[in-house]
Amino acid sequence: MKLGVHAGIGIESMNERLEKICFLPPAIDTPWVGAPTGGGPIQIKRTDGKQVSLKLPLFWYDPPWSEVEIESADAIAAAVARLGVTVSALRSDLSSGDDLPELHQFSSDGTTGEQVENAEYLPRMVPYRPERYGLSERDFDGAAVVDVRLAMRRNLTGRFAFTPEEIGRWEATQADSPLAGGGWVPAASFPPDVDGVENLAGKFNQLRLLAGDAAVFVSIAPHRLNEELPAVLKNQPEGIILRLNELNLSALELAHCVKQTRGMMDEQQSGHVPLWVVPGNISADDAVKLIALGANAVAIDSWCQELISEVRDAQQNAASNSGYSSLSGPKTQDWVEWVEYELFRHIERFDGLMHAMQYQAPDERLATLSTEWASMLSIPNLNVPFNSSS
Amino acid sequence: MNQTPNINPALHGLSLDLGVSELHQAIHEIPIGDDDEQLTQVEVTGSAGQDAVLMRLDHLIRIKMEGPLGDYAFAFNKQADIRMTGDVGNGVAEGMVSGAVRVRGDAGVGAGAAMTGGTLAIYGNAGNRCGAAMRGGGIFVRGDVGDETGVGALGGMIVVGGDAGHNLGDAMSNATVFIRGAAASLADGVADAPLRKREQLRLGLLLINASIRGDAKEFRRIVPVAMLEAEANERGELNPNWR
Repeated sequence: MKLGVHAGIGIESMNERLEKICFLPPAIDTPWVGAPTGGGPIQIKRTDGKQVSLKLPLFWYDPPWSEVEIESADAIAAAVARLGVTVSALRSDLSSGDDLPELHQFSSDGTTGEQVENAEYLPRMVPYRPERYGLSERDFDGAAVVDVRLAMRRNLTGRFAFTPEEIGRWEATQADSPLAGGGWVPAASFPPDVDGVENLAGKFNQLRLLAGDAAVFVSIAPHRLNEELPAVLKNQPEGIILRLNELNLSALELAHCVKQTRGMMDEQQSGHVPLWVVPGNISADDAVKLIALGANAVAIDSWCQELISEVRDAQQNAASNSGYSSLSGPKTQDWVEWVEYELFRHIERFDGLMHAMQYQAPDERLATLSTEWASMLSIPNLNVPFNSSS
Repeated sequence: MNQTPNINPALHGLSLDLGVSELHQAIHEIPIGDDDEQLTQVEVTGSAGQDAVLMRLDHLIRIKMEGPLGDYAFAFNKQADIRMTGDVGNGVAEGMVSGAVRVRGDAGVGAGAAMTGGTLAIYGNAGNRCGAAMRGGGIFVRGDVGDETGVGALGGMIVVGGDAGHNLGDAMSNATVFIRGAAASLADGVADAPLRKREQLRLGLLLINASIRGDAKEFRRIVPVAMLEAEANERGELNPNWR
């Protein structure tokens, strides 16, 4: 496989959803000062006082690892994490048997994990699904975030289920005796060892002990937010992940939902709890705007999906054209360069806008030409000398 | 000075008052003997219903303790042979990989959830969702189990000496439940069937190993209908695509 040659996913090809919102530049009488600081690593505070530090407020929430060969999955995961993006993966997503995935090579806890000399820290999330298929105790070592997933998972057919490919990757059964006869396997709704939402705090405490350096987050769907968010917050998670991609939201609804959720959390005395959002397709500009509206980190699955799709298609073509041709050949550096090439423009744009936003106070960063958007989002309605509808 | 700890293993004493991580470390610092038949023993005192006790043990050692304990005791156990008297809370031996946990008392919900190996024996009753999402290993419950036992189990075996609640075997794949009493209801897609000869033999040995009295002939098995059909068609124990 030749890396670095592809159709390209330039910034221009990423549709901007929140184009009705603009970034407010500083007013003309703003004194010239040095470039503002801030926008550096984000800090998450665990309930025991430990700090979790992440380079960027970007994460890859739900990578479809089973769509590509396992070696390719590991290489892509590590290369994306090297850019500072927190990547969600189990060991069994990225390696078979006792092999140590590249993404998992760093462990900050030498007593329980495996430590590889000079390994670079790669930010990683543990997807802690209720049924825990594929999870091993070693997944907790060196993780930055444990994501307790309380929203049921739909597969591409619309079922609340896992595909045979996912189950096969996680459980690695023999080819002639697949689990469930090779059919789909139902997904769980709630951790079977927790006796109700009101008792989630005990599960979170357990996970804090198992993953001594990780923040424990909970991901929920937005459908019953008014009831479920307060119930979850009472159990004191260290962060909330809101899966807004579960709804087909308009741009305004997406922005409003983020703003409202942040407000709800503030009202629940959870203003200090990070809100991470999974918005679906977004541009770099959208990601920054969502942060300005109240999110603390944004999922960039739509950017990273291009990587998976490209490798998957190439692997399928290679298999059909030549019988079989493994694409796991490229060396780590090749993968890093390819992923950087694919993602760098997005991340650089995101980083630049995040930096520029620091010039303004938090409530003076966004504005809009639309009275409707201004009203819904409580942001300034720009007074410009032209008809904004023309 | 030559010592032979494997012949006369010392009984070590430790207390939960040490703190969770300190106790974990202290146990792992105890040298293990050379004789698998006679494990080094540790007696752990100070149990008073604490949560998340002795998780992630990975040491070939026998631990004795008196309960009660709270939730998630012995989660992700590897190698250790744990024998405790008293009740445990929810999620006992969650994610156990190997070794054995024997509880002479009752267990809460989700006992042995997501286990991948080893043996969990509960000599009292277990709550709802016992063996949920287990992927291997064996669970023995001398008494009754609650609703949704074995829900989502992909592999392994659950032996119930008493009765079961509703929806026994829901969404189960390659797992088998053996039950002596009655189930309030079976889940869709699973069926009640007599034991085959080889299963009687296997279960008999497992009952002896788990110190559970009874004849394997008294048990019936609860398995996915697709698995039964595959057996009937003599196509092995698995059938392509059950759903």
